[in-house]
Amino acid sequence: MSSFADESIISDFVAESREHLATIEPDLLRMEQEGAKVSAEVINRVFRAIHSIKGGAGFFAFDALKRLSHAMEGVLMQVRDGKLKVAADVMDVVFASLDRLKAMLDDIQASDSVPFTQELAKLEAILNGQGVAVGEMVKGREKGATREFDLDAESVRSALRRGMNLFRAIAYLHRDIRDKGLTPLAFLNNALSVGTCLDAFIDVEAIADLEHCLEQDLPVTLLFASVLEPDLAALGLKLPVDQVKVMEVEALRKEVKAKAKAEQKVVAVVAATPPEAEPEAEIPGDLPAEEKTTREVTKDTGNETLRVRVDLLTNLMNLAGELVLGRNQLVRAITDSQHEIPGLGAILQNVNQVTTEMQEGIMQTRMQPIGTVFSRFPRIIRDMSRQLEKQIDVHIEGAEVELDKSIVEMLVDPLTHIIRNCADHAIESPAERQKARKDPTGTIHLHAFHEGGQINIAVHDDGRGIDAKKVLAKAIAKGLVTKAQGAEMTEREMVHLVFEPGFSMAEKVSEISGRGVGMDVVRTNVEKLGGHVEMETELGMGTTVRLRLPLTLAIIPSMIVGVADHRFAIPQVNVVEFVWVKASEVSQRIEQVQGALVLRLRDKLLPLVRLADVLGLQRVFENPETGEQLPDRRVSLADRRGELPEEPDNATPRQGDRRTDWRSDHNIIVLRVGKNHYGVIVDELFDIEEIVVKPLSGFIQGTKCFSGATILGDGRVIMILDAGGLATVANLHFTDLQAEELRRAEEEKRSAALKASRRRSVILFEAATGERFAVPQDHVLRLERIVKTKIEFIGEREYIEYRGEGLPLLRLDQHLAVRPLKAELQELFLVIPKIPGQSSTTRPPAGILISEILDALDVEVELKAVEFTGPGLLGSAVVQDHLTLFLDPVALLQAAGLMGGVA
Amino acid sequence: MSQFATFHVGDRLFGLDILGVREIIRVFNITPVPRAESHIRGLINLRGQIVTILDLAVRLGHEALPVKDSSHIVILKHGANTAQGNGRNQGGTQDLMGLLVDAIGDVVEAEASLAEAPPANLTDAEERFLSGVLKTDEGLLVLLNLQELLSSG
Repeated sequence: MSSFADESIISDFVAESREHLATIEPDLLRMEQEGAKVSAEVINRVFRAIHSIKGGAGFFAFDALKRLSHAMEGVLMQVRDGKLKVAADVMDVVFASLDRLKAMLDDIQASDSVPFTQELAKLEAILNGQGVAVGEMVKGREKGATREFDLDAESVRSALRRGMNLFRAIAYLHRDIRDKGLTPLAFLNNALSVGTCLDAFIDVEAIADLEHCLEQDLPVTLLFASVLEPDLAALGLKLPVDQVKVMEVEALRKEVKAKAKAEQKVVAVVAATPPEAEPEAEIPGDLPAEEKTTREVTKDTGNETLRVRVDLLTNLMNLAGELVLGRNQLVRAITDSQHEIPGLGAILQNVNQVTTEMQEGIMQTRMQPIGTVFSRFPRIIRDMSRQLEKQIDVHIEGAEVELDKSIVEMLVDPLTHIIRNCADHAIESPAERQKARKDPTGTIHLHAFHEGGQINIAVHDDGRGIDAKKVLAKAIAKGLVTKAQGAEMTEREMVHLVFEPGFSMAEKVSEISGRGVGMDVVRTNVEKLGGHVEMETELGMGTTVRLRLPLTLAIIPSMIVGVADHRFAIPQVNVVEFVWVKASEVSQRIEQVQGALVLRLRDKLLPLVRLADVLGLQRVFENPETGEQLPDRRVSLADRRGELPEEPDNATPRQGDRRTDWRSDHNIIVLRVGKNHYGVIVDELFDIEEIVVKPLSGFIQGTKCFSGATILGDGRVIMILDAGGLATVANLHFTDLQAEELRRAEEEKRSAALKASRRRSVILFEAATGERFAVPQDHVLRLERIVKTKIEFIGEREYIEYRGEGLPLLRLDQHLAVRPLKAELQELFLVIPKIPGQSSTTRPPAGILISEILDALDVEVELKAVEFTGPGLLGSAVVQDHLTLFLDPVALLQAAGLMGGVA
Repeated sequence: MSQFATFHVGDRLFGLDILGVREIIRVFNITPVPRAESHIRGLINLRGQIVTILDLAVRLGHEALPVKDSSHIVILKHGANTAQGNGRNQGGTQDLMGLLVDAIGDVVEAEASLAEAPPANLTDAEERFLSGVLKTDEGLLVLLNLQELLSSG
């Protein structure tokens, strides 16, 4: 008996387990009916449900529940692995155990007092390979006595209260079912459409011996409740009238009592401790059901909440949507006559507002913070760490993130499994952690956050991580993948094998987790929600499991777009921006890279798809002349002819060309898929509307392009585009584009470097008036001001005294086709060139005479050859709006023969 | 005796057990679903619920027929029996299905057990989706196998 578990957690566990049991029953029936043909999915579903119950029971220390579900799980595992055939006797035991589980869950605190040893013994007998023996035992016990219905007193009572008749109907498998072209399932479905089936069994006793059982007709006996009169019930069940008999309540009472007595007797023999309070089977009419109901109600009060069925809320939501629709129509219909009736405007406004608020309110009823799930984990971890003798801390972040209720509920199972796995397998014992030089206390980090319109949940532990190679080896051993497949797998893919059904990581089977159904459950449940699971792990460092979930069922603002005559909704969270490319700009902005359309957007390459193409719709364009819609047959946007075609002389000239007409402008919506962006070309953009996502039929989910459908304000149904699916269907290669982008970025860098190399620091000066020159600064050693009178002549050559020595002077006009310096200037400047390879103290070979220094600046120029290029000119360029000649002083000096011995 | 809702597709009269029929409505505003299988005619808004419409003619391997004035949609009681749909939605309100038919006929009473096997000269699709033939006063009534009809693939 649990001493530590919190009341509310336990009641959650009970509610979940009941749900599990409710789903199991039809699946078990299907297993029995379809035998070996039953799909693995069904068996897995049952198995996982029982496993969940077992996990919870083990955790909360409900011993009876745990032992029984554990044994059931064992049997089901043998069935799943094909070691055990789904025979009727096996299923008898499974069903009986299932009923016991239900009884235990009905009063969980007293669950240990529910007798179950008999079922347990049978399950264990099956597990020990005595399935047949057990079957005989069961048969032996029942020999001679007609089999009785397993009665659920509550359902009988409720049926009678609703004025239903109870029937014992016998259907023969061959005569009544097969020969009428029905399958047993169809028969049962039919039966369920006219009433309620309370119990059914196949009377194996009626068969003389096993060898002839196939030829013989098997009678199926149904306990059937329906409002129909006996003859109509027979008609509804498609059975001969004599096979459907009304049951007397008196007879029923006897049967139930007899059953209860028999049970008590058996239990008294088998069980060491007789049950204290085997609930007396309540007979309809005997005891009113009120007592039990009141007890339940009082239990739930205390907080200001009320349990409401989700389908009720869903229905309300639909109705609210309808109401909005009706309101819109009403407003439209009476807008014109509004002024004729005084006060109508105010009434309309009131209706309007109330409707909107009601719709919003109903929407909100479905939202719940994820914290309702998270809050249970610290307790679970605390208790688990005590059981496992580990030290574990839990950190929770983002508990306030809100999700649709159904999603929150569906997350309980997967998250619990992940958390249990973390505590049970991932986090090492304190001793182990210390050996690995880690903090002896392990940490589990739960983090929920919104990102891109999705809910992200990350569960991180700092445990031992997962060894990808071990996972692969195990998967190969289990036959999940072949060796050849394994050889081609990335490490990531190997790790993700743990999500495969039937994979088990744990070395030993523990009661809490570890039969390898855990991660399978996680993936199945999350994918059912339209979500996605990923796992990252680093050996020795820890593992992170990431869940990405959509916000389906919630109201989402969406952009309505039009393509051809179809409309679609794009959730706004996927929309990054909207780009409008004018028809005349198409050739500059849209191009083809490796056969795919791309848009150049702020130095990024954005893959483009045409929505019409991805969805296989006929593109249309509006003829600029007539305005009619014509099919568009152009294949590519980028390859459009740049030049207008030459019109034959006699052809009537086109009035407007589609390539430049505004109607050919492109509306591009940039969408986000994870880290990647891409553009979708649509024809038209409409409003942004708040839409309610409605799930798609399984028939349509295969298209991958749509995440749901919705109903617009005008009542029309439109599809909601799935940005991720669209990218997949369009076969976008983001990585190729990234490579291309990288290439371009590098090119850009190179050209920038090239540009930089063209940048020069120059000294700008004038020789004759208006004739400008520039000398790169790195060619100049010094600039000196001199007075004209200081210039001395030796022969034809001019000299000046420079640092105690004669420095030859050079005039530009003597060597280049330029005008001489103005003669009247008294003050001149001298450029002392820098000779490469010489230090600044070496005597310079010569100086160049100039008239005035204008500026020293950085210019970015591309030098052009000058027609009168003589030796000593680098070229010309326009600097500060003047044509400027760039000098190469060294070459100039060489040409003048002034370099002397200097190279 | 069972009651059958009857309807015409092409020149044939088909029947469905009336217990499997939720309602029959006139055709309006079917939103096509791009890229869906050809027998998915589209979606409609039935009082706030989205119903997936199957084109019965295409499902049976024939050409899609244009929507006429006489065309109707038979809304079925049971949801689709697809891999995704059978878990939580069984009998639920989410996965509503409808059949697009050319015209509707009367409700016919007949003994279901008298149904004969469908004739041999059928297309593959027909063989899968037809469960039998009944002789009635109205002529031959072809019975549809609803379960197959509503399973995907």
